[in-house]
Amino acid sequence: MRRIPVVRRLAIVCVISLSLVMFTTNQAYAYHLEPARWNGQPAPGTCCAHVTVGKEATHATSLTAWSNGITAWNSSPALILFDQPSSYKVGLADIDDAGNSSDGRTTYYYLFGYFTSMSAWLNYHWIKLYPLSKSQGVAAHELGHIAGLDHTNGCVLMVPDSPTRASCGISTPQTDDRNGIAAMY
Amino acid sequence: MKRRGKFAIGVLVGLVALTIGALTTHPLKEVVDSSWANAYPTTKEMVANADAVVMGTVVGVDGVEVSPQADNLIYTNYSFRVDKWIVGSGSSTILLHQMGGAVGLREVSVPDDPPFVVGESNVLFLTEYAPGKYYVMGGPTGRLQVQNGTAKVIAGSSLQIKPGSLESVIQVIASVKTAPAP
Repeated sequence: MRRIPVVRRLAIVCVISLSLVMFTTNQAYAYHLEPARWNGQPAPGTCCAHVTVGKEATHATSLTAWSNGITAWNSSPALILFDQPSSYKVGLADIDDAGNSSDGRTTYYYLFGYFTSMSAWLNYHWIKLYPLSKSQGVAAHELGHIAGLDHTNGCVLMVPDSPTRASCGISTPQTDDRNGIAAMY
Repeated sequence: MKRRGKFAIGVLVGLVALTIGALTTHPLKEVVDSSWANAYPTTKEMVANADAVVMGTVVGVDGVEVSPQADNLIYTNYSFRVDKWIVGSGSSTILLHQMGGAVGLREVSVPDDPPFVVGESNVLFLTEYAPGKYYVMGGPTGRLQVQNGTAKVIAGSSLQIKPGSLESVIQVIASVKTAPAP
């Protein structure tokens, strides 16, 4: 029987391994990171980063959504915790604005790769129409931005569209979202 | 004493240069990330949720305003000349209200939904939030760019529509509009 040369054998092994990786993993998408993160946090992959937030929303629906979003993150295995002391860095507020398509947004400033200030808003105009899980999804999504995650595609928390998040049944951090956090903190 | 003075001036000049350098490479710009309420993957859903779908050209900036809402977000209003009302009807020029812009030294950018450029042509899925005033649905998703007779989605769009000639894309949207309910 003719022996297959070593180089060819290696090539075959590589092709089979790559095919196995491609066909067995369902991680077809990857997280994206904001251009900044929070300073003074533990090394990447170490538990846990702490970000201080405070609820400033005026509508009960928004307050509930923020509370549920915080619980979704803090009860997940993500290496980040959102603390709520009386003095905090990020205000979690709301508006009631019919003049745009945004149901939640996070605004931030950064310098030299670190956040310098940040605020997050839920748009009551939209979330008042949402079931609890969908409004929690928006709040948890904004908390993902607060942590330093940018938008990405697929059935993940950081997908930019609420209809996609809702149709995927997602309102908590997924593996890909948690991987993004672990890459930063 | 003279040497000390020169040293102090040198340090001062260095600090000014560093500050200018830092602000040039890391501008103090307010960045906005948005979750979109009404961005849909299919043309059918976009049309079903739109007040209007138009084809036309951005002809000017109509003003920049700071929102009276608590977030004080900056919006830019654009004048948009409508060449064709694909869905809905209205006047030949409409106002587009879009997040982002600059007022004084304050600048707000929305990376997912870049500002319109005067002269650019688009097919837009719109919501009329006040008479004659519209915003684009779902940020980048409600916005097809028209270049050299071809219409295509922009980066960050969720809309699954094949790029094609402007006529063919208009036809796809119009056929969805007129399709009978199942």
